[in-house]
Amino acid sequence: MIVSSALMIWKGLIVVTGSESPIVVVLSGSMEPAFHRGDLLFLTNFHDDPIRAGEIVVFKVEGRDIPIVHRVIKIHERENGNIKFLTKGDNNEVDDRGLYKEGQNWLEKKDVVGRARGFLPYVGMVTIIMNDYPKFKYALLAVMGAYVLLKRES
Amino acid sequence: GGSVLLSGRKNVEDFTGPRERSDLGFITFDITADLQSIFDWNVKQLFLYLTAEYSTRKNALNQVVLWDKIMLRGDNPRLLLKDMKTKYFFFDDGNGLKGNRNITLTLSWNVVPNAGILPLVTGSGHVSVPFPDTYETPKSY
Repeated sequence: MIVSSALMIWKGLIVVTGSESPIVVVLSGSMEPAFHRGDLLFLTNFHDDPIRAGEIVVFKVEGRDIPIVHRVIKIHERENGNIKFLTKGDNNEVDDRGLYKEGQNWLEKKDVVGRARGFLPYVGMVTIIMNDYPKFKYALLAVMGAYVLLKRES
Repeated sequence: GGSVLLSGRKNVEDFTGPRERSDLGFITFDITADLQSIFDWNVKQLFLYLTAEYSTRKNALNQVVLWDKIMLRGDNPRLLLKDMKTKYFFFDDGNGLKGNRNITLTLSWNVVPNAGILPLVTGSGHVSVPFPDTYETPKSY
C-alpha cells in the first residue's frame, strides 16, 4: 500500500511538472554557495518555458546518467525557436564545454531534464549516504520492512 | 526591488574566434546599485549577472552573460563599480556584433532563499549600447 501510493505520487509529479526527474539531489559543490551537496531541488520542465540566461537548469550529457545542475550563461535562439546554450557552475572557473560530449560545444532543449524552481537544503543527504554506504541503505530498508511488518501485527 | 544604474561605453570590436571567425566585442561598464531592500529574512544570497541581449540576422535572440557576482546576506548590498571590464568573453555566434545598434545590457539577480521557491527577477536598470560599423585592428597583449 505504502509503496504503491508513493509510486503513484511520484508518477503524478512527473506528469504535473513535465520533468522525468522532478526532484533531484545536488551531487557536487559546483554551485556553491547557493547549493551544497545533499540539497534537494524541485524541477519543472514545461515545453513552452523558454531557456534564458541566468536560469538554473538540470541537464544530462548524452551518454551519461548523472544530472548536472548549473546556470545558463549564453543562449543563441533562432527565429524558429531552435536554441543552443552554454552552462557553467557558479563555483567553477570555466564554462561546461569540458563536460559536454567530445566535439559538442552547446546544449540543446533535449538535453534539459528540468528547470530549478525550488529547493530544500540538506534533505537529500540521505540518498547520498545511501549511495556511498550501501550497508546504510540495507539497514534502512530492514528497519522500514520491520516497521511495516510490526504495524500489521498490532 | 533595488535601484540600478547602468552605463556602458567603449565598445570596440576585434576579429578573432575559435574555429570559424566570430565577432568578439569589448565593453566596459559602470554599475551603481542598492539591493538592500531585496534581502529579507529568507534570502541567503543574490546571484547578480550582467547580460548583453541582442538580435542578429542569424539568431532572433542572443543573451550573453558578461559579468557576475555573488552577494551573500551580510555583504555590502551597495555596488559602486566603475570602468569594469567584462569577466567573460563577448563572442557572438557569427558576425552579428559589427554595426549592431541595439545591444541591451541588463543587470539581473537570482534570489536564492534559505529554503523554498527560486524566483528570477530582472533589475530595473538597462542601457542600450551600439557597436561601431568597423572592426578594430587587434591589439597586442
